[in-house]
Amino acid sequence: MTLIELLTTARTLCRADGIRIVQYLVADLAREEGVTPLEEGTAYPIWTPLQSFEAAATMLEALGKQNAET
Amino acid sequence: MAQAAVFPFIVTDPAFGEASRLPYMPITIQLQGQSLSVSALLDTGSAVNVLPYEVGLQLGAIWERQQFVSPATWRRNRRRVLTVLGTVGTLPSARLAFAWTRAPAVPVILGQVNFFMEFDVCFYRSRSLFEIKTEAAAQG
Repeated sequence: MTLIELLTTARTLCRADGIRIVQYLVADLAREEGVTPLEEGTAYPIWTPLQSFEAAATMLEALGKQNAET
Repeated sequence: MAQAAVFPFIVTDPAFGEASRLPYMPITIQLQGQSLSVSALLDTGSAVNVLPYEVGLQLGAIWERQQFVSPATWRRNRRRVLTVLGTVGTLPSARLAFAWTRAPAVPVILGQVNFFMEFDVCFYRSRSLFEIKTEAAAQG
């Protein structure tokens, strides 16, 4: 089936099925690329240096090691 | 001899003028002979110094050779530890540890570990100025 035929067929679908096709294609491409699709209503953590105390402790440790070597 | 450097708060968005002033200042960072002057944001709320990925590359750092910042808590670890030599104006240089990040659109951030452990900073926001001193100068 050519792209033109596919689009012609897709246009005969109801609006909801059209949206489902788009969602399916996006999810499929994202999976192939290793990109996790964002889902509505889901919280995603974003790293911030605010209160990043574990990172701070790791960096102090690295500094201590470097200072000990020099 | 007291050693201090004074900098103005910088207007970061001309559309908002005074409301957009932030404490940015020039700092020279060095790594293995490579030297780079960058504009850095002093952020007392940041637990760590943060270095953008591109700046680390310009210093000649190799991402794969650096230690993870927090291996236990982040699934896709996009931060590594990078220690450099930092110089502010004519103040004595200090070794600074940065969280070197691959996150896009991040400024150079100077935070508690360890910029504020090495330098004493006084903010005079009413005058749009801030002053940096070394520990020795602050005691004197």
